[in-house]
Formats: sequence, structure tokens, C-alpha cells
Amino acid sequence: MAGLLSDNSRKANFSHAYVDAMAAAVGFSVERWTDDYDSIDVTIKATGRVEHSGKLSTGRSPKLDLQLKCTDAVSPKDGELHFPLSVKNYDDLSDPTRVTPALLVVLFVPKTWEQRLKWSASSLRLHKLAYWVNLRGMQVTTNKKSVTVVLREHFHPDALRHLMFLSAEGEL
Amino acid sequence: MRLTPSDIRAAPVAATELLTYLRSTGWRRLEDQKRMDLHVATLMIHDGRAAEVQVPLLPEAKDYARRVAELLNVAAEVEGRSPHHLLADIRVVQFDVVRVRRTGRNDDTLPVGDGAALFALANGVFVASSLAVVDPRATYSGRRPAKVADFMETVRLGQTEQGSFVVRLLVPLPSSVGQSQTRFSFAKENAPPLPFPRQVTRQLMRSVRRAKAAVTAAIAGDSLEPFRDEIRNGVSAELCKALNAIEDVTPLHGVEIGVVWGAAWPMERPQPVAFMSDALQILGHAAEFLAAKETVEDFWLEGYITKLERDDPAGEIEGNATIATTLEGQLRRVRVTLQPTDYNAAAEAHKIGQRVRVKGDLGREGRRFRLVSPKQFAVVEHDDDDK
Repeated sequence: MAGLLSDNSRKANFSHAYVDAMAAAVGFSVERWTDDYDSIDVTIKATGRVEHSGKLSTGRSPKLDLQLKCTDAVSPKDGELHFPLSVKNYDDLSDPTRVTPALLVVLFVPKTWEQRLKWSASSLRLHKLAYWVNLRGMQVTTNKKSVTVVLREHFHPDALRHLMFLSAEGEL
Repeated sequence: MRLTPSDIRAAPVAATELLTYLRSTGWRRLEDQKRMDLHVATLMIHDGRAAEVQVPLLPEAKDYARRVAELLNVAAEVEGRSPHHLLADIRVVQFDVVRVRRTGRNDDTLPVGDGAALFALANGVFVASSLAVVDPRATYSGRRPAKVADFMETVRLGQTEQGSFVVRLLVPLPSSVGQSQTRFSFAKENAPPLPFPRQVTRQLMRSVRRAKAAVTAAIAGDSLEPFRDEIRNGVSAELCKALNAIEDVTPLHGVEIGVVWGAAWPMERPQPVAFMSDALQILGHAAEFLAAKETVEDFWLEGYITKLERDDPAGEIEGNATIATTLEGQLRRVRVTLQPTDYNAAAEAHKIGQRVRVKGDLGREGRRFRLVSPKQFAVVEHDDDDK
């Protein structure tokens, strides 16, 4: 249909909406970047100390940089999502010399838009599941095009809170 | 328009420059931030605005440019100005930045003649101000002192600013390392002396402010005499002439001069000084007025003899006497050549500490004052003192 975004742009926006919703649910702000020279799409921010599992962080005002991907080309199997990441993204995200921790978040979605977003008068559902991985310090690759990255951790509100807590502690 | 990481990568800025600037504009350290035991950033908070920024300390970090863009966007929001202008100021923390802006225009273009005049104005006020630091006078002649010539060699033209027509002059400041312990002392007597470049930019702002005050007083009193009163504050014929450089101005157009102190040597920032076209024209007349006052005819000089020189001790020829007096609000020594009778009287007055009075044409010889064509030399009697 003329005038609509490409499917890739729609998926990109969908992944942003997914992360925005997660961050809003736990009270963090999100800054979106148009310049992804270091493979960062958004930065999650908190002001003050972050609480997790009844503990308050010693550090304050943590941040988390995220590279967002949205895919329907690969499916999780046995709790793992094997995602082909471009070499550039891999090199950037595995670089240990960062001020702010940087993670890869991959949102796995169904094949159709009718399956991806389900609205009713009683609820809005975004399908299906996002995963995250920390590639910091991973082995340098000699691949030319892509690196298959294994993601096991689910990206959800409490996970986000925990990640921000770890960032505040300097442990991520 | 917000800064992007690409803006920072195009022209990186050092963490020391960021910290120096932030400390000088109301930000203070809140805590150090570590990552895997490495000190990667400093969190700073603004005293007046409850805002926080993270200053990255590792320029080699992958996300350094992103972190800098982030912090500058927040800092600019706190300061209420463009992040790009803020970045331009941070790049010059070791410089005083004097901004000369053409006012009254709604676009960032300028007739080429006005542009040339604006640059001439900027150069002229700097020369006049540096001369005033060395020796405040109504007007200057002869070679510039070496200190002034050397200083002017260091002043740089910066890039004009986006969105307006502004000439920026950059005055490099010496390193302030080691100065901070005394520079922020509340005791004035502990404050280190200001470096000469800072003295010049400070004088520049004082001079233009006093020139504007003289304009107001001149209009009120329908006289240019107020400009004489401001000579000691650095208002000179050269300053007035420089400000008048934009001659062909239209009503409502003028110039504005302001300064951003180099953050390495923080001081309270003065308000910019603006001149409308009518004021600039008065300054043109003031330049002529002050230049004409270089030689004052039939001037009564009164003061104390401080020095006597005569080749012939027998006292049959003329000799030179130096008289200490107050001129233009400052203690000055004026040389006068006296005939034998007057010279002998001057010698007697000097011996007993008596004031003398003489009339003549007061002028300059280089940097010294001289009274020529002296007449009616007299020792001031005690009775005269009581009147």
C-alpha cells in the first residue's frame, strides 16, 4: 500500500515502542538517538538511586545504552535465540572501553502485524518476547559479515530494573 | 538544535575543558562513577537547577562523543541557550571571548562594508583597551608599547556564530594551574594578579561601559566634557573612534559588545554593552574632542617641584623643573623649562616644600607631559593656600 513505512522501519519502531513501554513501567526515561555511530539506538536513564530487590544502589543516576533489533526471521529454540549480528554492531558492542554499559536487545516477533499487536477493549498486547545480552569483552571476530550471537535472558521490566541497578553499582 | 555525537566527533573536546567550564558555571561534583573498578565519569549537579550531568573521563571510550553530546544538551538547557553556542564556548575555556555583534538586523547577513567596519571596530577597541591598561590617556601617539604590540599578536579571530552576525575575538589566557587555591579565596589580598590578557578584556568592558555612560551624560549636559572625566577609566579618542567605525548606520541598528571570560580564570560575567546609532555618532565627535585636547593652551599648572636640572650651577641660564600635579585624575609629572629668575624661585620653593604655579601650553612629549611657553611663574604663598 502506497504511503506506508517499510516493514523494516515498522519493526524498528515497534521495538522502540516495546522498550519505551518497559522503561515507562519502571520509571526510567528513554533518549532515542538518530546517530548510531557506535551501534546505539537508545539510552535508558534514571535519576537518583535505583532500587532492586529491596536494595538501594550506592551509585546514582545510571544509564544503559541499547542496540535494538526486531526479527521474525529466527525463532527461539530451547530458550535461546540465535541472532546474526552485523560485524560492525558486534565489534562496537563488545568493545570494553565504554563509559556506559551497552547491551543488545532483540525483539522476536510473529510473522504478521495482526499477530504482533493485539488490541481489545480490555488490553493491548505486544508480541512476542525480547531478549538481551551483554557482549562486553567478547572475543574479537574475524568474520566478514555477521556473528551469530546467542541470547538467553528475557528483557522485561524487572530485568531492566536489575540491569540499571548493576549499572549504578558499576558491575555491568 | 540538539548536539549529536557526530558534532563532537568532528571536533573533540577534552574532559578537562568540560570540567573547567562546568565548575565555572555553577556545577559541582556530586560523585565519581566507576565501571568495573575504573573511574569512567564524574557526576555533577547544578546548584541552582537540580540538574545532573555525567562528565566522561575517558576520551578513548567508544561512547565518549555520545556522552559529551548528552551532557552538553542538558547543560545548554540549564543555561537557556543553544548547545552549539555552549560547545563553542567550551572549546575556548582557555580564552576570553569578546563578542562584537551588529544589532537590529533580522538575518545573519551584512553588507560587506558593514562587515569590514565591524572587524575594524573589534580590532580598534582591543588596541585602545590594551593601551589604556598600560597608560590611560585621552589619546595616544607614536609607537605602541612593546607590551601592547606583543599582546595584539596573540588575539585571534574566532568563527562567526550561526544565526547572527557576530565577530568573535579570542584572547588566550595563561594556564591557571596552581592558581585555583588562591584564586577562589575570599580574601582579596590573597588573589593572584590577573594576567595581562585578562586585564585587557576587563578594561575593554569597563571602557565601553564608561563610554556609554559618557554618551548619556553628554546628551544630558549638551557637552562632550563628560568624556574627559572618563579618560582615567580607559575612554580615549582611539576607543571612541573605533566604536564609531560603523559610520553609515541606519536608525535602530547599532553594536553590542560582550565578553565570556575564559573559564580557566572565572569572574562574574558583565552585562553586554550596546550602542545604538545615535550613540555611535556622538562617539565620533568625542574622538575628535579627546584628540584635540592633546594640547591644552593657557593651562594653569600647580604642584610641587620634584626635580631640578640645570647645567650651570651658577644660575645664569635656563633650567628644567619637574612639577608633580594631578592630571586626568592621576598623579603626573610635568616638565617645564624656566628662565633663570623663575628657576631660582623654583629651587627655593623646592627647598622649603612650597607649591608653585605657572601658566603655559600643556602637551605631550612621547609619554611625558611638558608645559611650553611658561608665563606668570609664581610660588604659591601660604595665604593663597588658605583661600
